[in-house]
Amino acid sequence: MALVRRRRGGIVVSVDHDELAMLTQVVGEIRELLAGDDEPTERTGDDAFQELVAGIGGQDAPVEAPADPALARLFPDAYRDDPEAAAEWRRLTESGLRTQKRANADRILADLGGDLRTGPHGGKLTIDDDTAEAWLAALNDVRLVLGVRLDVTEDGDPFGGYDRHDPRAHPFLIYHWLTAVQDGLVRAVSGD
Amino acid sequence: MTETGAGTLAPEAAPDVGIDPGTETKTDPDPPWVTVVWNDPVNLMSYVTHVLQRLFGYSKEKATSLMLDVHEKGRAAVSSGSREQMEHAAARLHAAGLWATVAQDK
Repeated sequence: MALVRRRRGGIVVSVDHDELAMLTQVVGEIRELLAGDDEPTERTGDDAFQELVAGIGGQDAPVEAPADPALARLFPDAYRDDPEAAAEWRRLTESGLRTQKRANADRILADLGGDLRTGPHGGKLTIDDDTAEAWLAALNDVRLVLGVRLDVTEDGDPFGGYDRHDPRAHPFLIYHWLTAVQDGLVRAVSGD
Repeated sequence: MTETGAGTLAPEAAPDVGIDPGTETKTDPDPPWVTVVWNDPVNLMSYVTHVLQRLFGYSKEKATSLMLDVHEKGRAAVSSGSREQMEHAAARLHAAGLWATVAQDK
């Protein structure tokens, strides 16, 4: 189990080799899902929030919810009963939100791909609070997508009643592992 | 929302903080627009509380109370103010992965 602890120098995340590989894989998959034609070829990562605030959608900005239900969960309508307002809001915000979510995923991937202080059982890295927020949002996006793909329900059996031969059994284990990692990170960040 | 085994949020520990002028975003007694957060099966209770604290500057008690409203009643108005302010709040909530909508508080 990945460990997350707050220390004097920041938030320390300890992962073993398998966990590192798993995190890299699932975050990489979300990063791919978020890729698109609108992606700028080069960006710094600091301007995501400004883009979001500016909320300037281009001529080709989307006005309809994504067809993929997982993407639709990442970019939900902001108006329930007003399709026109929902479309206009989406036109102004979706591109900026996408950019921000990509930046969050890129942050984790860069941190995981960087210099881990490695020991016999895996690696440790220390992140600051702002970075931890990016991690939290990206891990949450991964869980939201898995949740849609696996039909996660609030009250269901934590393993969805699947037997171990079900192809969803393994992703379910990953989902629950990510839940524990995210919860540990929330508690480290909020000081609980 | 999902509650994990690690630590619990005790509903009885959350005082009634419905009147908390120090953290309201606007003093208008009848603000016409609200941002509503909806319950979903994935978002963690601890994470939702954290996001509400971070985005709106709410106390732990107020954020926990709102989170529990979302969890138990299916939704909660987490902020009120101008339409523009509420649309901005919804965008920031979506960035964090919460399911939020904007509505006129009729």
